[in-house]
Amino acid sequence: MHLRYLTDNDKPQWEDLVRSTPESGFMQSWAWSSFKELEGQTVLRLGVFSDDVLCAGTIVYYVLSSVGASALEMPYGPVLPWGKAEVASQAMDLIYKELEKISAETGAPLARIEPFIEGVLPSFMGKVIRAPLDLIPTPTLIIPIDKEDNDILAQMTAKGRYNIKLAQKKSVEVYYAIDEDAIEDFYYLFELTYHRHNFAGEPRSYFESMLRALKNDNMIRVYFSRYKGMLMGAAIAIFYGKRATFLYGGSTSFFSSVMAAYGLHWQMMKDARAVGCCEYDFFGIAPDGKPDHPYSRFSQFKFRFGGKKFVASGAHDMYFYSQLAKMWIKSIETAK
Amino acid sequence: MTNKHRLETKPSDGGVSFYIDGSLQFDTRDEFIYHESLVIPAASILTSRLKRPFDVLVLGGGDGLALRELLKYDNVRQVDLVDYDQGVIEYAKSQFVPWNKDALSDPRVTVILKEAGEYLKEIRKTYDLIVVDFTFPDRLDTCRLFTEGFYSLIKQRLSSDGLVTLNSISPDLSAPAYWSIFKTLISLKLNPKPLKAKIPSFISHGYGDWGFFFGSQKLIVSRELNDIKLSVPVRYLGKEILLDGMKFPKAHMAWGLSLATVVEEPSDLLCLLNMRVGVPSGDGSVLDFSKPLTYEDLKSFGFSHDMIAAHIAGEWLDKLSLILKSLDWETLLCEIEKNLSNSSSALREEFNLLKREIPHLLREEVFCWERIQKVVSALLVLVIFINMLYPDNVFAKGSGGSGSGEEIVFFSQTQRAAYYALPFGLIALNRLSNIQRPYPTVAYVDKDGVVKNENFFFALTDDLYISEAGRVYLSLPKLLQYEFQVTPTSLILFEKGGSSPVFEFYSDTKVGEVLSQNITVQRKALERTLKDYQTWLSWAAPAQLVFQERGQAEVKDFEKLKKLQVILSNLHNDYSDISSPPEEQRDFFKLAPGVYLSNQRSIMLRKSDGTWVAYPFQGFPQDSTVSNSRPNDTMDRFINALIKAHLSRPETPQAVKAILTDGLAAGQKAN
Repeated sequence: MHLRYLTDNDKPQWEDLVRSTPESGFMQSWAWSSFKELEGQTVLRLGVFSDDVLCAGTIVYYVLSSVGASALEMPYGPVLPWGKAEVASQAMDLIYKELEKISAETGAPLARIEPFIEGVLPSFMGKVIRAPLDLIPTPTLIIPIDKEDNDILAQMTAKGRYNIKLAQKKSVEVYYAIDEDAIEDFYYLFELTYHRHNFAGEPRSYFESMLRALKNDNMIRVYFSRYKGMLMGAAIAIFYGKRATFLYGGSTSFFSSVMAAYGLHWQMMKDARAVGCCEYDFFGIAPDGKPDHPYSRFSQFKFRFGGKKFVASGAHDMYFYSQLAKMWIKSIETAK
Repeated sequence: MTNKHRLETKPSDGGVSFYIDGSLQFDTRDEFIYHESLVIPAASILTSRLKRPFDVLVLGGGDGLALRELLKYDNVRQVDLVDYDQGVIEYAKSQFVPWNKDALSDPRVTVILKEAGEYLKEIRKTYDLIVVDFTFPDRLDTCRLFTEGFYSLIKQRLSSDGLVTLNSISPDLSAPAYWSIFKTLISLKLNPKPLKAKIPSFISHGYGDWGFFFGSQKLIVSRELNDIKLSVPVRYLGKEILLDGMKFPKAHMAWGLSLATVVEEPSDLLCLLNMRVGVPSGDGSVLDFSKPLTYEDLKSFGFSHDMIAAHIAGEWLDKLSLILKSLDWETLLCEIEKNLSNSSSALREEFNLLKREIPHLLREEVFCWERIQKVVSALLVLVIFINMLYPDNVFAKGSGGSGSGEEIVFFSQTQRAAYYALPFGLIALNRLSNIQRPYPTVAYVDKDGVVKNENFFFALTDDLYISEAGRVYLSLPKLLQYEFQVTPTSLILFEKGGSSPVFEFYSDTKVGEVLSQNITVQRKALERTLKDYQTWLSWAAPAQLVFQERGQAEVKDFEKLKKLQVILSNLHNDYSDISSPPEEQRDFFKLAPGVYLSNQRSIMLRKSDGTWVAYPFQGFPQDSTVSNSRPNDTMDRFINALIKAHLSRPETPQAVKAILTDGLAAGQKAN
């Protein structure tokens, strides 16, 4: 088993590997990493080969700063054969050694892994510390969509089914686009929404870059719902491997009685199934027992689509103490 | 060369507003404030300084508006304008001509389509004045234009007596990032002078006050500022306005500089911008940059871990404590020791202190916190920065430990943090009617001073609501038994079921900004929605698609939309000026709009006329410097509920929670 940096020639094998690894996801895709490169981040693509066959690896993201590199981020990574503990462990050893080298070269004080795994991480991951931030929300809600329409509807709540039917009865139109003008309409709704909820949204250029980077790999669609010509809601969906993800959304506050949001998600689920996805990820719900949680009001809406709560183990950090020590010294020295 | 950005112009009351990638660049109604602030001080000083014709380089600024200001000076011999965006240049030569006075056609001007950094590296000539007018740095690539490396390229092309002037960022919304640019210019010995201006269109877009810097390798002395002659026609910038714009509250400086760093890499700046931690209000004292200042004066505002750590939000302090406990300290101490060989004795002393105290800290035994504070604070702050350096973490979708999706608030200030909620999963649930609230009606004071009740009509935001009569109400999280009626000049507090207002407070900047922004975006959305509907009708009716009978609910919804349009239009007129009431300089912690905790630990209320009163509440000490408000049961209940809400909020700093707990406990003891 050996590790080497992947080149463009390795892209098809890498994509096959990530798409077939349920513990991974779209942020480990080649296209997503190209998007992050467009954003100015440094991207490293490590592949682990066994008998010249790609069997594991990870895409690492970081930025440089004057105090050293940021964390070496691996959202939905590393990509390992999690079911084969021995192989996974050997691959992880190689990846860890390379991360150590990158840390020494860049000054990164830690590497952050974030596989899509429930429960405790396997012991071969070594000593890891729960990170204070996750790029991938946990818990989330997963709707199984590899079924007939009626079966998907049957596992929803009665209110969820009713609202979908209502949106259909009201002739709410749902369609998607992947041209750059789609971001114009999406951002109008996103901006309206982030002002309404008083948070800072990503700039429009973020979505434009994302669309440019992902559309050639058929990973992204911008969905819209319209009612009598009026734009009601929009969502960015990522279709990757077996999982579709509802990544961003926005809406007006008008005509909520026509239940356009239900029509929108229902169509996204059906389209996701049509391109081979088996599950639909709502990308975050409020944890149990937290009624004041910022997601609470959205969770209530999402639960009407049925599905199952998925509590991922979340992001974990592997510290490189040599770099942390250097950073601490520099930090004390620059203080007054 | 193709256009690099999405450019948009929108009509604005007789003029236009111009956006690049959705970010407002200027509004013709007030752009002169920005462009005069950017150009006039530097060009005027240079005119007096050189007493000869001079050459100018403009980097960015393809709209031609800064150019217009420059060309007012007869002694400007030549201007090279370098902008890489052909689209902007085309606008400047067409749609913007009425405002830039066709500046790009002036024979003194040469337009060069090129990246600024590329141009600076290629040329060998020097300029007497360099005007830097770039878009807001919201990404790594745009932050590159604010780094030490980029500014050093500028310095190389600046004549020894020459001046550089640059558009910066908001000193109030992004104080640490603003003062980082200051520090960066200082590190290059460009002797920067900071300047700020209030630009109404920027403020209404939530950009805050706007900041600039002008500097020179040859120190700009006070005399040059005090004797400044504005020999060209101006609409905004007089000498007094200039000198006033150079006064900065010390609280801004202390907070901003405590986090500020020399911007070596783009991520240094982006990290601080993303934090958007706001600034604490101060005691009103200012630092006047038009006066001689030594760097000794500024030294007291240096980087202080203790001060920063004192502002770490409660929730983050808990997370960081867990991280500290989980670290492999033996390895870390060993690694630090290895790297200490060339270090100062002071640093070794800090290390020995850490080594001695850390076992006690980890075992949660008694340890000397005051001694260890500095070293632990440094580590806490370091871990926060490590987390914030990666740009995507700003929009992280969850947080460990206490569960996903909590607010990302690193440092608590009096302002609500910008990253209040998270940007996804936002299919809205708010309704035009039947808003699910514990109390369906709200109280208000009518024009005759009589208290009446009315229903909510529309939710502008999660906290701000409007009634059918167009009155605005604010509710606070966890205090739903209270409502504020928001008037253009005050906030009137009501208790549910109460027969009279509890108190009338002075208006609140943050509430004003959020209100104004949301009135604007909701008006825009409503306008678009109704227009879309008309378009749909125009083809649907002939195609007989509208024969499908419209339900009663839908008819009602349309009626409501029309009504809402009128209400929002009136609100826009009534509330367009409330976004920036006079600045409040006191170093108080804001518990709610109008209610503060003073640095004397007293509960302070700001009355509608702007004056302050102390409110005698339970065991909280009295502030003898102001008059006391008369205590009453309803206000007691409100303050009590407010304090309890703060004690359960993760973002309220532990230090504030301790004061609030002490105050309540002292009151109970006295009773």
